[in-house]
Amino acid sequence: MKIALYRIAFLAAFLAMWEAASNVFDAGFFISRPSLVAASFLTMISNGSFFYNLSITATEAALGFLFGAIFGIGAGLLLGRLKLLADILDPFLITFYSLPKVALAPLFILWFGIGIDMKVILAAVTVFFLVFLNTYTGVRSVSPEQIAILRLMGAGERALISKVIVPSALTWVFTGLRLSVPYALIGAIVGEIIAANRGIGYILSDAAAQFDTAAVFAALIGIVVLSLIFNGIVRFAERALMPWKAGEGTREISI
Amino acid sequence: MDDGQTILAFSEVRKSFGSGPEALPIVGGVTFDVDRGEFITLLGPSGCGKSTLLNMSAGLMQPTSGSVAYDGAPVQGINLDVGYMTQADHLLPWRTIAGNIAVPLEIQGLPKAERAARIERLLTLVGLDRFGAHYPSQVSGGMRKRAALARLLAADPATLLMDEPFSALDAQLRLTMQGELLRLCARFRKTVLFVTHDLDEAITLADRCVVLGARPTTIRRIVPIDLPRPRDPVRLRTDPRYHGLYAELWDLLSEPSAAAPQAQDAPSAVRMAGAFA
Repeated sequence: MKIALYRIAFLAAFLAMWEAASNVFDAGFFISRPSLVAASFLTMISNGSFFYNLSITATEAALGFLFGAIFGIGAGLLLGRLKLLADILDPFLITFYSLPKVALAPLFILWFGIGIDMKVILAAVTVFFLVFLNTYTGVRSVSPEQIAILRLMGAGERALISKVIVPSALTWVFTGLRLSVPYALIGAIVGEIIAANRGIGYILSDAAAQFDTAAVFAALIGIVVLSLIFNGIVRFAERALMPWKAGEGTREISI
Repeated sequence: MDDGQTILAFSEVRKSFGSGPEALPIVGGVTFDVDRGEFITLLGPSGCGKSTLLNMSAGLMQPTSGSVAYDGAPVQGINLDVGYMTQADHLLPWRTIAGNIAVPLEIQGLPKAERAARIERLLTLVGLDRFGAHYPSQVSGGMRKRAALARLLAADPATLLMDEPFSALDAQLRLTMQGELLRLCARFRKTVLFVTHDLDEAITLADRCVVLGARPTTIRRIVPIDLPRPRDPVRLRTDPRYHGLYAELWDLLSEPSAAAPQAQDAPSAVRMAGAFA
């Protein structure tokens, strides 16, 4: 409770200093001021452009996240179980992983145009690698003892996957998913900044091109809100799907 | 089932890890038979290859030479007639205690209603009837051990392979668990191969105790433990015959050749890792 008050005080002090700095250094052109940002933000909300553009970006990021996650988990499970295939593909995957995915944007524009699908694919490719690598590591690090014990109970490959490998890899999968949230947004927004006529990334670059600093900040607030919502959803899913984690935090430790 | 018949036969079993001149011999020619329904303890210094013998019985490892036969046939691939219990309980942390016990029942394809009834009985059997809904991380080490035992009984293998299952427990709990194991084995007539480095445990549980030497393992002697059953792990210790056996096993273990290589504990890492790779 007390900490919440301190946080509000910190925020208020920060905003006050921002407003003051803007006046003292006459830097309104570069940093705008909180009051103008709020006004710009309210205008965007009242004329509907905020939610319209935000929903476009949210759709792109969510679809990209979804496809990237599905293929990433699938590929991670497959390669995690097929050692030979993983060994063959390893150098190619690492090569492709080391390529900044954003650099693919021009190519994707060429292939898919500047519509929503190009942003979805850009986001999906980025998310895919993060989720894939984490799932793969998770599958590879399943306790061999647990697998042996279940084999001795007569478990086949299917039972092993559903009872040990998937739940055991779940912690890793969620680490990958949580890491991916900002990257899904990066994919969508970078795609919009490069080529689009709607979406929060478009608002951002358009406002900057018109030297409307207040609107730039207002768009940034929108992106932060979106990111927080996405993170919240992933965390909620994590808690719902892994109830055993709740008890682990409260366990006594002995060294 | 007929007791007294040979169920598990080791003949001239040798096992080395690695190959060529670097090969590390772990088991150096072990021959003995286990009868159906018999309780065998394998006693020896740590890192002497006791677990390797269990892994070969389970089919998780093949002997380098010699043969391990189960029920008349050489063990090839996973031996589905045995169940394994180790020092770590290896419960699935994402399943409740009841959920863990359900694993072998699900694999056997038991209908849900029947499963629930079996789990209920097994929980009562090991004294965990109020803890079915807890996750392993929420209960004590002793309870996890009981849960692992219940899971092993749910799988209902004819032969139990136990690798120092109680060594992480405190002395009192260990005595309790030994008592329960004796009771359950007498009731379900299991064949047990039980690895331990604890003299008391080796005597308390066994029909026969196989005393092993240091690496590469050979059998020093097989000592029949002719104490009456049913046994009480605590009362047993006041029996003069118990003291005689204890002294005999101690002398066997501390024969000079056993002492030297005990310091290097290299193969303990190889133990499980090698087996399950």
